[in-house]
Amino acid sequence: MSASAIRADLLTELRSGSRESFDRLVPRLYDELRAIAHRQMARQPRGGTLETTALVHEAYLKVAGHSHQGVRDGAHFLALASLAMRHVLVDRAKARNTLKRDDARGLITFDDNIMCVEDQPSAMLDLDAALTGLAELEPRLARVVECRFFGGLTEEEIAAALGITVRTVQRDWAKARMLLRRTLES
Amino acid sequence: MNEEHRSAPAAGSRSITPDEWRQLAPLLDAVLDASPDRRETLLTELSGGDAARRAELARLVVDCEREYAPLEHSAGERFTTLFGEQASSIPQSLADRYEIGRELGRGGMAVVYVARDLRHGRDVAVKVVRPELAASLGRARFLREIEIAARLRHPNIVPVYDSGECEGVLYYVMPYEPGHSLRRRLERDGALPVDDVVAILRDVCDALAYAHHQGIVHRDIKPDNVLLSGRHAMVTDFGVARAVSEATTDAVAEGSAANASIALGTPTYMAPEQAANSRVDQRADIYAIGVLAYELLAGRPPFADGAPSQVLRAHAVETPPTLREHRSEVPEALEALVMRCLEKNPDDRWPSADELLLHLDPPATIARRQSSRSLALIGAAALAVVALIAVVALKTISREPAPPLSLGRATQLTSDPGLEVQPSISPDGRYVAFAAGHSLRMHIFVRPTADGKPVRLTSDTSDNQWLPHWSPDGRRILFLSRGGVFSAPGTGGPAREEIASRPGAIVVSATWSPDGREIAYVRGDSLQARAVSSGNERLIATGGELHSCSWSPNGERLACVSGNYYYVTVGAIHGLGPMFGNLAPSAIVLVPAAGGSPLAVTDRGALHQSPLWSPNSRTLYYVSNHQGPRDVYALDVSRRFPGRAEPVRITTGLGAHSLSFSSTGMRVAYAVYRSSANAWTVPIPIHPPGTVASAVPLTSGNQTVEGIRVSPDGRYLVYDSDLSGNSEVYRLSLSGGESERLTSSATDKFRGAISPNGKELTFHAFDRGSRNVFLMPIGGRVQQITFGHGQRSMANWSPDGNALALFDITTSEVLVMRRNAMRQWESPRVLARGGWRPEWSPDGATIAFVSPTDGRIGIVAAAGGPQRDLYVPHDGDPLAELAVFAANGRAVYFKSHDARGGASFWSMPIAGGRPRLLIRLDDPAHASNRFDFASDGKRFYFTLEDRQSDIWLADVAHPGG
Repeated sequence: MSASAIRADLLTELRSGSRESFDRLVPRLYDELRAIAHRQMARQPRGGTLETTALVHEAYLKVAGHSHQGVRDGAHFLALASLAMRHVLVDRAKARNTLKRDDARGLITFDDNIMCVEDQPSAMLDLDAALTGLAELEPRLARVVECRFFGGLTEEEIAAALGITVRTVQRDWAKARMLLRRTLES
Repeated sequence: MNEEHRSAPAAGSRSITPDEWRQLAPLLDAVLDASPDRRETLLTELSGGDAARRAELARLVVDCEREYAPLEHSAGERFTTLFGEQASSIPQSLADRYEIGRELGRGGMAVVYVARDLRHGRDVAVKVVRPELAASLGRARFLREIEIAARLRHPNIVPVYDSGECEGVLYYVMPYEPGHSLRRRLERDGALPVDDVVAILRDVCDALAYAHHQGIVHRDIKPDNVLLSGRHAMVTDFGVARAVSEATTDAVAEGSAANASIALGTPTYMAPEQAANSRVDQRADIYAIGVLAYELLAGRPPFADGAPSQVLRAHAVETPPTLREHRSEVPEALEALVMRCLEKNPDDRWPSADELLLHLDPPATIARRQSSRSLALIGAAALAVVALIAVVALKTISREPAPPLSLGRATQLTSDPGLEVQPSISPDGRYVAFAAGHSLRMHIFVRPTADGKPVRLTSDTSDNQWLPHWSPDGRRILFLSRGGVFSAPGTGGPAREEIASRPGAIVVSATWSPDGREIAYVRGDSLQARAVSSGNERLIATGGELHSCSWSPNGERLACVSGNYYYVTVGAIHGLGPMFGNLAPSAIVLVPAAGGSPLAVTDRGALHQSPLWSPNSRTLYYVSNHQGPRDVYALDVSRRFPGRAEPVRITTGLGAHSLSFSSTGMRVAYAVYRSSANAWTVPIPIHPPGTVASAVPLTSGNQTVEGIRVSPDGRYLVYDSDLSGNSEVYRLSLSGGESERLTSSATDKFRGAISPNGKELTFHAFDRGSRNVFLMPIGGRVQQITFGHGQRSMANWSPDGNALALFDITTSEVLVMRRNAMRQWESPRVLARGGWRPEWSPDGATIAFVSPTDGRIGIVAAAGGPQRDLYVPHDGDPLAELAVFAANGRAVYFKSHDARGGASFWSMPIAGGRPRLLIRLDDPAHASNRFDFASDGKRFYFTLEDRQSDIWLADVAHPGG
């Protein structure tokens, strides 16, 4: 897929956040993101964290190439990469969740019941469900969260990708944060 | 517009519908865009004057503007582990030491792998703290907390073998127990039989009582953390919840972690106050025991339904259904006990695990078997015993700490120069056996209590003999010699080997069973019993560094000393007998004679030694220094779980060392030990060998000087002394003058070393059962610099002042710790193994050390590398006990003791060859018993001792009669 193939209205098609439309349209983005994440992981110092922004931008460059694009096209692409990031994480969380119960559970000392740190797979799946619920209330709020949290995009990039003002991005983020907290903490 | 606002939904806490949101969103936008000074008015306007609605709108606005921690970091930071593969979380340097096997499971805290400990050749569970959690922890604090927990030594606590940070990964290592957890048992069987529950609770309470005494609260007691191994329950992951909690609190305070509200525990088992407060005391564990007990008996915990927040709320406000609603056969008393654990208010619960333990009756089956046995034995006991029982019973009823006995008229039985120690009264009270000798050459003697001369028990050997013990029939005397156990007729005659010595595993304790049919003895880490007639052996207990055991007259239990094994083994290995002056802390434990796990009945904060049973087996006497001088204490052990009973001191300043009762309990024999040691110096002879005759004293008086060392600038002799009452570090100018005390506090400090610039002092001290190294700018504040759970001691400075060499007594590891550019001390690193007492070469490039077992001298490059033997003694060669470099670095001087206890100094060339004798310290009246010495290149500095111990005999008086 080349950058020119990404149309300005691609996001509109993807707005449902459905896996089907995403897989049909941008499978390579997903694969690249996963591969880059892996490589980044391998270079990481132990216990370090991944640089989300770098990850998404690298995936973007990899798939879109270095051909000249308008700012808006690029921003769209970054928004797509953010969505891909969400899918990558959800898939890994699902895989982890099925692995979790092992036979020697007797030796696990802190079970899932613990409050101290949520289990990452289930936390991810909860967040994913909450985002889907958020998209039902107001799809744009969910897109803003994807771009900012999963894609690490700046407010300007998000504004360009979604065709809204920076101030609206800020308000959307605030409202989304409030609504997600309500859902996840109940 | 007002109409529209009035219809704005009041969403409360339920989820907001799309319709509601369509109305609400513009209102939020309006307020969010408003300037702060406009907001109040706007909120009132938008809510149409409805106060409730206004409040809710205001709250939503606040939530919009308030950060929500899970979203404030990007997904890459928040969910990093979801990207990683499982193997990638093990750093290579950790994998070098542990061959990581399959993943056993993962929980909220850590991923657990089964692994092979390559160094020690054993299977372990390696627990790797989840990186996302590790990232938010104060790592140093976490490791320190784990190290504190790792000092716990208890048969019902799964020990921590190792912990650390490897390439950013926090990990800790525990034994891999092939058993399974209580959780698994619950899942498999549901509710457990009442007897099993009581047995498990006793084990858990015993572990907690011990840990609480050490100031450690578990905070996460639950079935998953109780492992079932054989017949015992063991508590695991001690201190981990606390470590996470404390480390997070630190990290938040430092600003390196954002989330202040983590690390609590497990909601199902969490005390009400624990949810609200990160600082909880032992009563939170008591509550968790209550939940655990409830779950084991009822098959389900008291509160488990709903989200964590609902469960926490239930703990705070709901009363659980009574146990007998679930299960009618639960005894009433047990139910009451469990429900008291579950009180909401900590003040209403059992105040301690000790107290709880006292009320946990043993399973009925055990109780029946024991009562019939003790009845039979009591029937056979003498009348005098009944009197003692009455006294003990009186004490128990009145609950007053009245002494169960006091010592009457005392007579000094021996007054010979030298040592008379370890008395054992014959059952009929007419004879006393004891070990006696000069210069550490000890033999067993027997003498009548009334009058008469001591007679050697055996004349056929010159070997060291110690710890005599009369057989219950009064015919034979058991004693230790040559690493094994012997017995000889009490009237004198040839010795017979009862238990053979075994290379590298000497017997350190041996005692008869009250029926005389078995000998209980300790070899290595096992307490075993050997049938005298058949030679059949059975294991009673393992671990816990047991020694100095005494079998209860009713045959049911053994009382042993746990800890400070060094105290009895080192002297024995070197053929010197026990080290009487040692002050290292230890505990008295009780072990079921039929086999089982030791139960501590004293703390480990002080020296506890020489346990001895009253003839009725209801009172245990022992010697302790926890109030200063060595005195005899009595502890009521008539209840099965005596952890709570208060010991009663029955002597004042007696200074007793070892105790023995006659079988009627009417007489007690004890040794009173006094010693002084002072610093002396002698020139290194130009034409060796020299003698002690040219030595002169540097200190004098009634003190024990040890740990001597010359300061790097050669100006001072540094040493520790008990002159002020406890052990403090002093320095003495070698150009003349008074000694100057450098340290001052209540804790004993040993083996001071002054830094090359003369401004800093290191020493080691006991630290909750471990030895650790401390540093003090001279005249400044003391700071702890090692935090191990072993016995790290004798730190001394590298010539450049940037590193310390030290060693761990228990692991025999030679360690080096360095100070980095920030002047912070890094954790000690292992430089060599199988070594003690490291010393730097003058150029700082090499470290010499000695073997604790065979007198070798090893050397290793200070920067690391292979270790090699410099000197390996063969038959008849002197064994090196401490090796220090000569001033030119071309030789080491070492000190050695021969089989007769005489000390000597030797020189061994670094280039190889044979050691040369320099000086023999051969004055029998002034022995140099300690291994330590120092040299400034011209002279040797060492201590000479004056030791005196005599046997005393006292009548036992009973209060009021």
